Amino acid sequence: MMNQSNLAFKNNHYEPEIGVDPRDGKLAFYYVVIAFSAFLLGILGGLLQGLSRGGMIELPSWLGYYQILTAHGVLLALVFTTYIIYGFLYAGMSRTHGAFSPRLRKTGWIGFILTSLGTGMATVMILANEASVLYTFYAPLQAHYIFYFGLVFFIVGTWVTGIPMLVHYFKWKKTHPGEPAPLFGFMTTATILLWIIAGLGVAATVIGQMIPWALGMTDEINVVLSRSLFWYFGHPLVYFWIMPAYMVWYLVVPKVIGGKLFSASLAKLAFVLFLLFSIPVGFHHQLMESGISVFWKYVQTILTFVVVVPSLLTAFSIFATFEQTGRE
Amino acid sequence: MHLHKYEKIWMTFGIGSLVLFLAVLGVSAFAFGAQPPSHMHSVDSQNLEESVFSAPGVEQIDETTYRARLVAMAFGYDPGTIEVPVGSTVIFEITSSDVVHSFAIPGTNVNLMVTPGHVNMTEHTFTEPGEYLVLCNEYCGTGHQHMQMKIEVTP
Ligand SMILES: [Cu+2]
Ligand SMILES: [Cu+2]
Repeated sequence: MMNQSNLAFKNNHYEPEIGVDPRDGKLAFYYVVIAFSAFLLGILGGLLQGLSRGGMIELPSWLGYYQILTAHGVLLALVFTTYIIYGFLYAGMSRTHGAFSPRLRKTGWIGFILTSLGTGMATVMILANEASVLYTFYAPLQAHYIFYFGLVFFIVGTWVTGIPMLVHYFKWKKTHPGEPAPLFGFMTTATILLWIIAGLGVAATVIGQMIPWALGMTDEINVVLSRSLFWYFGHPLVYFWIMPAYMVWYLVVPKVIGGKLFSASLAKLAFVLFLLFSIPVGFHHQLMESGISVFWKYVQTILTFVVVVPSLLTAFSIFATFEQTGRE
Repeated sequence: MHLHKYEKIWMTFGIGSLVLFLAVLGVSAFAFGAQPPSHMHSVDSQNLEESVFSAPGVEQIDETTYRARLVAMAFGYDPGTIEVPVGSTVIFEITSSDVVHSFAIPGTNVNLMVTPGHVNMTEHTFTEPGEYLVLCNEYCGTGHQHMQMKIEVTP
């Protein structure tokens, strides 16, 4: 009997049956609420752009086309994605690793408040038409310094909320020696690490270049450097969107179809590869630019395409899971 | 780590095609010179009057080769029109006096980014006479959609 329940425990190991603690659920819920509010505002921007480009409507004089385009980009590409991902990761960590400790939860809230403060600052500046620089920032087009401070709060806030998730995972490993940790935690750790490493680039250009320049402390900005730093962030940004989607494929889809994951170690390998190959790949957004040699463009093109490897692993794993479940 | 036989085949095929693709790309770039514009020369964008861009325009280098030095700015190019005879090869050298722009001739291979502080270069041989439109395809401010110039290729 004892033996059997042990066995059941082992089989279920990657998915301990515990729900999301309501106190953690609350933070995750607020992340999702802001995500969808940003989504609604953002798609409204997209609709207005389409209607005005198509000549169906004339935008009022106080509303600029590029202003809406900036709102659309920032709200959908940065705000919606980050909030929905953080809500998903935070709830998932609580579900698979147990409730967060009060201290970690508090840190999570502090990060959430910082991020939201930054989102508010940036959104207000965009709506005030003080920051129509699109979501890629396009220096030396200049935005109001409050917009840049908003970006810093946004990024730093996500780092602050990232820390309790990393700590929660490593604490679990410490208190469960010798047991394989839930895959959700491994994947969350890889995703958060990728986000922190990628965010260093955008933080460097915003703090080191754009803020001193927007405040008038420097009168010039190194444009190519600011673009390289932005794209150092801007490309891994898409991996940051992909990885949670892959987590759903690897962890949720098998549950939905009542099967089990084809191979946990291959899933882990795919995430480690994503993390490694995310680091120096931004130059492919600057292929037509002067000031970067053809050699480095080629090296980064190779590194960019290597991401095919974890994607192929994932594709195989998903179809193998379907096939395996279908044959049972 | 255990790899299923099918997975081995799948990954070998996948990684193999990737290597082949990148090798083709590398050979075409480095052996056949199919490279994106990546000129390394820099210029002081605040003092273009004191640089080779002090008098932008077209200059004949030899019988069929011309050099066009152009300055991109919000929201146009200097000069706004250039003229070359059909069959000539034009070496474009472009910089910006303000923000990031681009220089693209639709229907040709000419498409490059123009960043302030740098000079970008490409060349093109005009084999058909006519009027070629040049567009900026990089967001540069509220008048971006109006930014253009013309190249007259005379018969
Ligand atoms: Cu990219
Ligand atoms: Cu433009």
